[in-house]
Amino acid sequence: MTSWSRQLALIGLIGLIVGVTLGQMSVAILCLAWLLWMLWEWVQFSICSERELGRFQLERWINGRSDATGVLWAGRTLDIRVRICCKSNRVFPDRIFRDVVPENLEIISSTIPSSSTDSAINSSSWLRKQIGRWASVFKIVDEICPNNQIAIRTPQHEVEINYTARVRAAGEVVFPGIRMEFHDPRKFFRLDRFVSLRQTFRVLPSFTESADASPLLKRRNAIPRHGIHRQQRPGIGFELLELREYVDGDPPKTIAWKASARRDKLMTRQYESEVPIRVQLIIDGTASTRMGGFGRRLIDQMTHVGASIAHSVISAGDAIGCYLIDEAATKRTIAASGTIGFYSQLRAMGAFSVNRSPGTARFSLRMLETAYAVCSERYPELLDPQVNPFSLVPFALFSTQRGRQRIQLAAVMAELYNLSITTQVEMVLDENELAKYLLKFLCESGMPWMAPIVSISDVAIQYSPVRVRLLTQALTAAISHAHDNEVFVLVADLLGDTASMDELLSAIRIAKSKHHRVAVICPSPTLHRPKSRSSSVSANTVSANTVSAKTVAELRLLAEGIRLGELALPLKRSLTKLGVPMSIAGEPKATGLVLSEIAMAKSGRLTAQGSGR
Amino acid sequence: MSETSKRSESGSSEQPTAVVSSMGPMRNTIVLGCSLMLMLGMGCAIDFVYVGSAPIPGIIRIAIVFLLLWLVNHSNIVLLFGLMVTSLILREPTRLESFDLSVSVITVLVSLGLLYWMVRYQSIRKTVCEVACDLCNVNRQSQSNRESTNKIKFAIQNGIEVGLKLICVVLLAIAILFNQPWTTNTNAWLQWSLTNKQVLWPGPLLIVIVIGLIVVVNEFGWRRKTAGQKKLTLRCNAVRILYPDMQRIVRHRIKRRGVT
Repeated sequence: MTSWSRQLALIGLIGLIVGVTLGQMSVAILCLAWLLWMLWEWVQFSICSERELGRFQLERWINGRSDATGVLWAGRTLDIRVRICCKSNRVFPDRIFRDVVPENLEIISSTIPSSSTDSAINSSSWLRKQIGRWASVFKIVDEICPNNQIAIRTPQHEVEINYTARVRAAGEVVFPGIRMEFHDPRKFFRLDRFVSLRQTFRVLPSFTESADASPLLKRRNAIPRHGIHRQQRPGIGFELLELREYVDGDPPKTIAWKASARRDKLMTRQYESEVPIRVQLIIDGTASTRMGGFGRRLIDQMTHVGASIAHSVISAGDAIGCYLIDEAATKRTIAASGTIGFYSQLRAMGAFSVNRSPGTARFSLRMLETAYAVCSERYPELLDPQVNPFSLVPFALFSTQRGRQRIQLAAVMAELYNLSITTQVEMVLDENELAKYLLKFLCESGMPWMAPIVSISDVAIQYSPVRVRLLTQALTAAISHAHDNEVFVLVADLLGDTASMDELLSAIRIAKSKHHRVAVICPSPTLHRPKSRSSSVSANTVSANTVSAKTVAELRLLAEGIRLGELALPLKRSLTKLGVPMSIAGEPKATGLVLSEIAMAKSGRLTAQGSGR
Repeated sequence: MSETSKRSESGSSEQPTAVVSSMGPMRNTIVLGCSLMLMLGMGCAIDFVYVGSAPIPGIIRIAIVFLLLWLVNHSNIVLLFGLMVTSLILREPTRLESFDLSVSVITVLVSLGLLYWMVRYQSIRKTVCEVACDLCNVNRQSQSNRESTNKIKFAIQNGIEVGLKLICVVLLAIAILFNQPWTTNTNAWLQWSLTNKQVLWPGPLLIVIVIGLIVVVNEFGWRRKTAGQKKLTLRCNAVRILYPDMQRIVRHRIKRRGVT
């Protein structure tokens, strides 16, 4: 029963009592007829909805396939079609069906009804203008229906919901089911149900195909075989490294006869070694990188960069492996090459992008409201006051809305997680206990790590020092597993952590001493490459940029870029001292630059085109 | 793709847009006309039933009608129903002898019709306007004849169904009320009840019927519940029964946890 039908029933009941008591038959007839009408509607509504509920057939196609599981790509669009039909019956009017869309999806192409009256008001003709003005008073307001929802007005055999959505980020997409709202034509009664139609998809990270990374480097004369790279160490290859005096045991075919004749002693040619290269990505997935909405998290940028590097490296015939780090564990995927290797790395990165439950839960009003909203979307039948009452004591007249929500949510959580009655009461009385389960529920519902779930300050305090230690451990482990010619790419949020970087710098020094290459990529929160120091600090450039920035958003972006550039400067300086290239990458162009850095490392040279870095 | 087919495709996509833009004012005129006619009809009905017989000046009468129309337009049905009941209570004589059944039936039917009208006002107005636009062939979306015929058929069917329902409900209410002993002859009923049984007849019968109805409704309600709802209902009832004791235990536990 809706709230206003309850009020109407109350008025009808009072009117009936007054009419019968005072002998005013018109009032009594009107009120009794009204109550009988409502009763009739209730019986009709109950029978119809009951008959319909068990007979619904639901089917969902994602890009033309209705499989329960599958694989999707981040950033790509999906055509979603949901068919709803009632077995051996018609779908009655006044029903609303909504396909519940996970947070990791963004619905695109919304339709806005056209308003012809507004155009008439702006018309030049006086008569048209007047008609338009009056018509706007009696304007027929078309209901704006979201694309994932359909409202039925006339009986139909089957209905379809068609919409297009874009996958925001790598990880997981779970389509939970269909939300149904049943009304009677007068909207006296309402029945909400959620029918499960679960489809789970793994989402692989998107990547940029950067085929043109090599033109930044000097071309070589001798091209080695596919997947083989030169290394500036003595070995068996085609490119000359140096000439040295002949020592016993050197193969005679390497003797440089002309040079020997000039110097009057035997000289031998020393060639560069040519070995297959292995790239090891070390990706930081600690708490701070998971903050924010899907597609805006730092980890989304990092997996994008990682996937782009993997694609480029595997295209060149090299092998790539991953170290995926978070507070729970460090996961290593073995270096592999070829298409199978590429997909195994993407799968690992996709699984790594799924948000786990954050450690600590702090109760807040916003968390309660969010959980209640999610619960009423997914489990509307469990929030029915007849099933799940607002109060635990009789005649609780002064209970607040917050208190009522808390009691109902405690009961739902206890039911969902099969908890004991004691724990349910504990949740009602102890905020922290309730917060623990609400957090679990929200994370399982696929909510992103944002304000009601975690607070930025908590994450900064708890996890910042842990990150550098974990990265150091991973880099050390990677060095210990390394072969001859490896490139370690640290994809981590290191900006602002310069004070606690000594440990990591030592590990990088060890890697360099073992003739490995190291590159560092930091994700940028703005998704854009920040300005360099010279351009950001110089007053003239700043003023020029400020003039070019027209909107507040552009100015904010500019300020953020300058701040980021400043933050990156000490880190860049310490890494440059070690000969480690660093990039703040978020956009595809930046990824290309990072790839060229790796390609240079692959080439075995210390500098690009002989210039110092 | 050939040039001709391209041209025909572009032509078919442009044509409806041009039609819509030229039909905007025409459609507005129809919507405005239909809305005004509906309002006028309702105003007359309100005036006839609620203000017609009252000796009040014309300007106040118009103001009252406008107020009620405003309530109708804003779908404030609770207030309107309250006003209807109050107005009937204040106007109607309390003596049963002066009761005129035919006038009462018309008043009740018109009141219920108005209430129904109000509940569905926006959708009725929309349907009427759309049907009128279809008939004049100026609808925003180009619909087929079959669709608009279906819509008209559904609207007429619905209207007849509601009308019959209202008449049935009013007749049933009259039948129930006029078969009660206290409405026909109150004194004789009281006399008979007190002398013979010392109870107000049909009190015991009513109690039995009400209890039976409660059982049936509860049973029906229980069967409608899903498995999850049934489990939750039992859980919540258990918690409600045990809550005073559990509360004490849990509070003690929380306090102890706080100390440690």
